[in-house]
Amino acid sequence: MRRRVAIIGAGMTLFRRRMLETGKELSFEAAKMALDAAGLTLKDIESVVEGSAPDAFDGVHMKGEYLIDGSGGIGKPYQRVYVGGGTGVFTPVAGWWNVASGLYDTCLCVAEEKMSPLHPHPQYAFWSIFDQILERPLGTTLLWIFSLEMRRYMHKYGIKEEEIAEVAVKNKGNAVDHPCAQLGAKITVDDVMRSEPICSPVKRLDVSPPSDGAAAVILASEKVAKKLTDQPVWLDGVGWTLDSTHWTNRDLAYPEYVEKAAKMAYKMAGIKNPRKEIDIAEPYDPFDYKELHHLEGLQLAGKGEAPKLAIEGVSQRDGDMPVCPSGGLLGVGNPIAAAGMMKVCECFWQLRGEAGKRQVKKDAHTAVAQAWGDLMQVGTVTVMRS
Amino acid sequence: MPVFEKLSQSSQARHWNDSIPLEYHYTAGVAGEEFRRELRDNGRFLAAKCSKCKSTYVPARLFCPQCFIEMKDMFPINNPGYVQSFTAVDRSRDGSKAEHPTIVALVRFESAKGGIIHRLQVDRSDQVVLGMRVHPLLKDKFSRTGALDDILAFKPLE
Repeated sequence: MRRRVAIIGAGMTLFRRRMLETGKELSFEAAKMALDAAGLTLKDIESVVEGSAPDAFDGVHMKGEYLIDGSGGIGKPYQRVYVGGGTGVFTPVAGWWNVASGLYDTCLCVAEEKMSPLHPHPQYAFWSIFDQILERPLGTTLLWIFSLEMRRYMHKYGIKEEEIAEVAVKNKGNAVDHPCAQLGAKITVDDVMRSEPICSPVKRLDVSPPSDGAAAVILASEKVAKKLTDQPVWLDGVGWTLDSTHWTNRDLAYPEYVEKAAKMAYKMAGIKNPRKEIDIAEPYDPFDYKELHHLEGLQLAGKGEAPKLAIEGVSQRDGDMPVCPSGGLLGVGNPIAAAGMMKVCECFWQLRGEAGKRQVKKDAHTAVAQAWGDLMQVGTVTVMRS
Repeated sequence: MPVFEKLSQSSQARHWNDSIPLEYHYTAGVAGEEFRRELRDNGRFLAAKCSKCKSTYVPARLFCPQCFIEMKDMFPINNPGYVQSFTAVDRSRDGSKAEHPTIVALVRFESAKGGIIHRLQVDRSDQVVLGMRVHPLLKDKFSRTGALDDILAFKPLE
């Protein structure tokens, strides 16, 4: 029988363009902080899950094994999971299997990314994700396909670039209050609109930065969680879905794979009306339009209606449904797997009232974190409750 | 060390240079070979149709991922394509500023799944409208090899 799983501790490192720490050291720092927060030592941990995106970033082609020391996995049942940018939220999903299944009572989940070793730019790792015959000879980059997607989204629903820019303004502004953030800033829609065009309609300030960093959570069974804390945050729903790498097949205006993942997680958590029941959302926002895309996939806004949330104040930190109160990837930074886990950490801190200056105004009990990635094909979702 | 005492100036971090020399020789696959041959010999795009769900895929593939059966019905498509979405690439792949933006489009075909991403032969991005009809501009038959660069670009239909 499935057991209830709680998050009982969280930790993360600074997110920066280049950190002195190695990937192992980053993993260690985030894991140690999460253990300390839970009042545990490594001896109390029964299994370990490490999440990290392409090996090509760190430049070590067996990254899971390489990172094991820093993740506290030596001599324990240890797994490395990987679904591209969706990895950060997939890591606690895999941790959930460990605990909900009854196999283990405690599981340490660590997500790490050190993108800076790859030169001349981390984006080079993405050249090899495209079809080697039909796409790569053109010099296709990720920015191209995001731009195609953003334009399709704007075209289908009549959305303006200025409306999308509101997301960058909100998230970078929220990140000013995050002690680990790389790119917190008070900017305006005009700043975004006037920022350098990279791949139209995508401009410099529509995009999150590459980073180094790590983040971690501790999962525990209900029995153990209740012994250790008065404030467990329940991981009540998990969902994940993948589509094909044939991204050319998809309706670029709507992420169906996110919808499927969200519905799986909501069903498990008993959520019938997401927009009414979810208090805080941390959707994946590597680009500002992606937050909107994902809010729609998460059933938190109607199709083409997500831009209204930021403009009308609903998704602001003091709004009715704060979205990315952490500052998101746009503000805190985007060390791929660690960025998704950062969102799970943020939900944990928000639901415990431990988010400091970032604490949302409303009395929040239910939060959803979501990540997305691979070749625009994966949705990973967790629903958490205090 | 507390989180706020971290090194945040990347120039202060020492590093060592190394590279991992790897080279790959990719095959086009069973359906890919057929697609390449049709492009090289007849200058057309090969599609494949699923006998069960009747979906047509361009480029042709060996199997339908939904019904999970082989697609044996392969045929060249005759319809022009249309622009599903496009972008103007202002930076070249190495991150340097491009002299002129390259216009790139995802081209789809009526009643078919999938599509082909390629350059669009227009002077400016404001000449592009989503849904506009396009056709491929190909190398002459004798220089074609069946590779993606047999297509020079897609061009709007007059």
